[in-house]
Amino acid sequence: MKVTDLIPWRSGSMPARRHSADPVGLLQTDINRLFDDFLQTMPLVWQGTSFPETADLKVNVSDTGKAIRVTAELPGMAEDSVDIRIDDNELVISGEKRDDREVEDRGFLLRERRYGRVERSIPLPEGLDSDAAGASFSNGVLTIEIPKGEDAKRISIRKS
Amino acid sequence: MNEKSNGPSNGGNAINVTPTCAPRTDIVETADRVTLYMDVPGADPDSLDVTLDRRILSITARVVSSVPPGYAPVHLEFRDGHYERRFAFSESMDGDHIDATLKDGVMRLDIPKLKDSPKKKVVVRSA
Repeated sequence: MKVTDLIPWRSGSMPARRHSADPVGLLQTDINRLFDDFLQTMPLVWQGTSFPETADLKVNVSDTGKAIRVTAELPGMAEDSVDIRIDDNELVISGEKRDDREVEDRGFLLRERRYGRVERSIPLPEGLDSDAAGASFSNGVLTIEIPKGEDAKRISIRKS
Repeated sequence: MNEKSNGPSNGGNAINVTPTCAPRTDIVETADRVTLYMDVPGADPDSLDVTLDRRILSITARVVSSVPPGYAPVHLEFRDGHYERRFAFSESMDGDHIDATLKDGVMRLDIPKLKDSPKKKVVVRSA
């Protein structure tokens, strides 16, 4: 076992397994999940970044130079159950996951998926053209693109 | 029904280049069938692989959604990789009639139980 095996890495995704029939790896997976669940219940205490984590709505933010692209994992939600707002340099994604199954309370063997309302706000940089923002939904992943505005003008310095 | 833990060996590397995630799953069992609901956001429908080998159900899928080429990642909470999970059934299931649908990043698997159980009565001879 290497030292790196002991370092818990939390990047939002959890390794499903380490290697086959390794009890330490299995224990680690269980502990990772336990901590993930615990940390999601108290996001404000533990957050160290400017992206506060809320329950079960993972986002990626990337930059092309011309636009900011935000993707969010929203499995089980459709276009009409998701609301996207941009105000005061903040992008707010909220949605509601409905329990669309035939309700059979006695039949549950395992219940890990989460239901109900989720909301996430993402700080945005200055100078974005929010009127030209577009969004699409594919395979449970919401993609929002916000182009950068033309406000930032380059000022050339004259030679004297 | 239990989750089966021994997946294929990945050479003992603790940190994979592409992460493998166990998707969150709900399982509902009724008298004649078992239904699974798995959250697999971003899963490529063409890469979905569902196999039932005897009593072991394996589900794998590839995720290609996070950052396309030309985009500089600013903040990442999920990344490209694989979904993988295995379940072991405690009774024989009808692998020929699995109904799998993928909608809005949720995969629904409807698996009927085998009606004619391979139960056989053994006659014990008295010697």
